[in-house]
Amino acid sequence: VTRVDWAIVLVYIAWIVVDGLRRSKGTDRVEGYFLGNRSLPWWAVGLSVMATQMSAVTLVGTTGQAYSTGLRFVQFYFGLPIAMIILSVTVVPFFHRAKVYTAYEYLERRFDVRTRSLASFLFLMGRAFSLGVTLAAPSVVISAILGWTLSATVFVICVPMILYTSIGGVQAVAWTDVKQMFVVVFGMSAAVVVLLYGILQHVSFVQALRLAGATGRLKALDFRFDPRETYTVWSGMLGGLFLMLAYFGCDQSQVQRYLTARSIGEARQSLLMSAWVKIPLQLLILTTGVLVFVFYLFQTPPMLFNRVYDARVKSGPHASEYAALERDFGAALDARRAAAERNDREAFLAGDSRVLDIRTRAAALVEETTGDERFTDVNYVFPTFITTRLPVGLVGLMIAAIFAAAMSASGGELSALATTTIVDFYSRHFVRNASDAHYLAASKFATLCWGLFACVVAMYSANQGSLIEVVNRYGSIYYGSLLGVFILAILTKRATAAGAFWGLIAGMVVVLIVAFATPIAFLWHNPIGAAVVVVVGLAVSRMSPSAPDAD
Amino acid sequence: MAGAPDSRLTGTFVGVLLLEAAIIAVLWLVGRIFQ
Repeated sequence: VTRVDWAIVLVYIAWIVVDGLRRSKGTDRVEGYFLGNRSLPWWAVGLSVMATQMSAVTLVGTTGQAYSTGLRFVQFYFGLPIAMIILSVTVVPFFHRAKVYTAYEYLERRFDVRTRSLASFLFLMGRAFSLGVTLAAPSVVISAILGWTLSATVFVICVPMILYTSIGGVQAVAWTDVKQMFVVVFGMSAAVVVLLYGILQHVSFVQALRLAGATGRLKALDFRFDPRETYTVWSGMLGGLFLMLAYFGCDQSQVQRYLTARSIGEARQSLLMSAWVKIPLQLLILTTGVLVFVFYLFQTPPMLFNRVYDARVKSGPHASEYAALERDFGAALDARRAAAERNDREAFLAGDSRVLDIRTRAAALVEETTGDERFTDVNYVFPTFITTRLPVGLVGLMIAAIFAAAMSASGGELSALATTTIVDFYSRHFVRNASDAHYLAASKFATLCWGLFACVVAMYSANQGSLIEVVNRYGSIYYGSLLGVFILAILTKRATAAGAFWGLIAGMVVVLIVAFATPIAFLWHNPIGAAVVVVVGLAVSRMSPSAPDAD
Repeated sequence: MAGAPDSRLTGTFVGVLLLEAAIIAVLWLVGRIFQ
């Protein structure tokens, strides 16, 4: 990474902080601070919605997944467009007309304060820890790639993000998100151009597709109905639909985005932007990962992309074994490359499985040396490609994009945590009827506290599994149940406060049991949770004599 | 309760679903051709 690249990273981070603060006009009142005075244009809200969902984990983890397994992760998003359509005709007009600050505020109007408080509490707990992961996951990768300490990396991401979020509120977050989306799309497109240029020096485009396809990386769709399988068309369509309904409909970090829109129409348009763009954008990111795989068929990749662990094994007790593996690796790469160039499918597949086998053995040596049982190399693939293969300038831009993605996803979440804390707890249970200035100061303080809490969680979080799944798994424990409560609130008239409260608890318990005691894949936890809440909620409502209004 | 979508919105919804169907069809085709 050259000085020019570092200058680009610095200028970019400075720009988003300064511009975020500059755009935070009108945040001298709580409504301005939390909802941007409900004045943002649809396209800014739409980009902010996508940026909040697209964290640095998405950039680094998704490209890594595509590098190792191909396009099949795209199935995860198949439920999203349908979810957006459903939400834009149900929840969006509902929340806008109710003039709420948080989604959970509505639950008190419909049910009672305990359902509201429980839902807010579930959100706060889940989101606070997942914010830690949102920060930790890219920090682990960035620190290994740049040779920084984990604390320094978390610090570099957290300080600007907490600064502009706590001072500028939701407007600073939204306008930072807008910039981030442009940088990410431009950066990824530029990376694709560099990858294609490198690949076309060796084989034609069709031949490149054949090579990727031969290894199964272009097989995006899996039509098997197997609930143990994480990504299938059905888990994406149905499980993903419920996850997206819950995420965009009940998670304050998303609801708050479209509450900032000027009108119901603009809020709808902002969600429908995701419905149009999200799958193509995800395909761009996944295709980049597949192209990185093809690129490294003709360029020599490191045996392990995580250079820190690579160095540790080389200086550890398994150094000689590792050196022997590296020699085998070099020979296997040569054989695979030659087979790819002469279009010999059988020899290419044999060479590829030999390369894979050697990498698996190298990863086992890493595990034995470092004791890190959850070591996964795929998350280091794309950052390694960026720092070693992109031209000067683009390296800086891509690193800036990863930093910015980490900041903007966590900024939105941080703002939502502060909003829920102040609106659903502080001003509801502790200090009622204080002045607007008092709540504004408390809001800024809450943002600061949650930011610091997330930094501490990030520093202590373990590096587990493939990064993106970790974040999604955290969500799927409580998302389905939250969605169930909102279904009871918005779509039924018979549900009572007691029904909603006990339904929510039953949903959480069942999902926890399913998550820890069965092999059912995590996307299915969402419909299961929602269904349990609705069924138990309606059953309890039937038994409890009180009418909804009387609760 | 929720407001009914107008015809422009209905058109958008149909467009979104058609785009998704087209993407799935293309992915299926690419997966079949290059395997």
